[in-house]
Amino acid sequence: MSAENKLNAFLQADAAPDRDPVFMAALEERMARIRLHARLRRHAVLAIAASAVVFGLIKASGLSMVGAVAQFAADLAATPGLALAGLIVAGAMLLPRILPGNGRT
Amino acid sequence: MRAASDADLVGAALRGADTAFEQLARRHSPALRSFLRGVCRDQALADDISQDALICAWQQLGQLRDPAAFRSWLIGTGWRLVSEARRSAHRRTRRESDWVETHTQSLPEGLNAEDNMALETAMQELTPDQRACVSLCLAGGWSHGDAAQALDMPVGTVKSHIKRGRARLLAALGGDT
Repeated sequence: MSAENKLNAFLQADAAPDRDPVFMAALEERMARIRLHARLRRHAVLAIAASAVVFGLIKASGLSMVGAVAQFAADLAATPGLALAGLIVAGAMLLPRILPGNGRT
Repeated sequence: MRAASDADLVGAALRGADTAFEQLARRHSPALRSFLRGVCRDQALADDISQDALICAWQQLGQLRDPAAFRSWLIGTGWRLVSEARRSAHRRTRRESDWVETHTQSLPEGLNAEDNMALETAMQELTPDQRACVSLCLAGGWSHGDAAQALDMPVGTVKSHIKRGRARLLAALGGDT
């Protein structure tokens, strides 16, 4: 084997495979993690902004925070239709889990 | 069916299609990894930096001026990250400790252990710029112009690095230069 051929064989040994599912899976996982972190950051910013708006409204209305929350809870509880709707939604969500043979294995 | 061009895929990725970028990565990661393996002389480190380069390219895709030149731009990003990693003491230490393990794993076909060791030593002794040019042009088959664009070097410098690098590698085998 000539020196030139040996050099070519040596250099070609560095070639990465054309398809490497493990490498691509690791890359896609990193991309998914970065996307998730970005989404969480965005949602956190929105939540903080929404909290600030609610806090400002409560302040402006002259109510105390505890008073406003208590008033809101009392209003909710005093609405029978809303409570009933809540029960129906909860039942619809829990029923498939309670009934036998409906769960995904 | 015609495969989408790099420019089409870059455009789609910029409009938010992450699958388009994944297609670009699948298409060009073998070339990037081969290049970085040649430069780093450490497959694990090269693959780490390849992943970093692809993530960096994904996040900075908007800065790519010519979408058709994605491949050169990606290689250039990898080259920049390698240069930064070389300055990092942590990675350098790790590379040295991994060297023996990496280079006793496989022997290229047609090469005996003595020739392989001689070439490996000679390759390590080349300057990083020479290794980059040798890896792209001699191993990867890139044209001098494309390599110059990717590595941000004048074409004449690329040619000179290849000539000197090749001569030193052949000299390590006791061959003609």
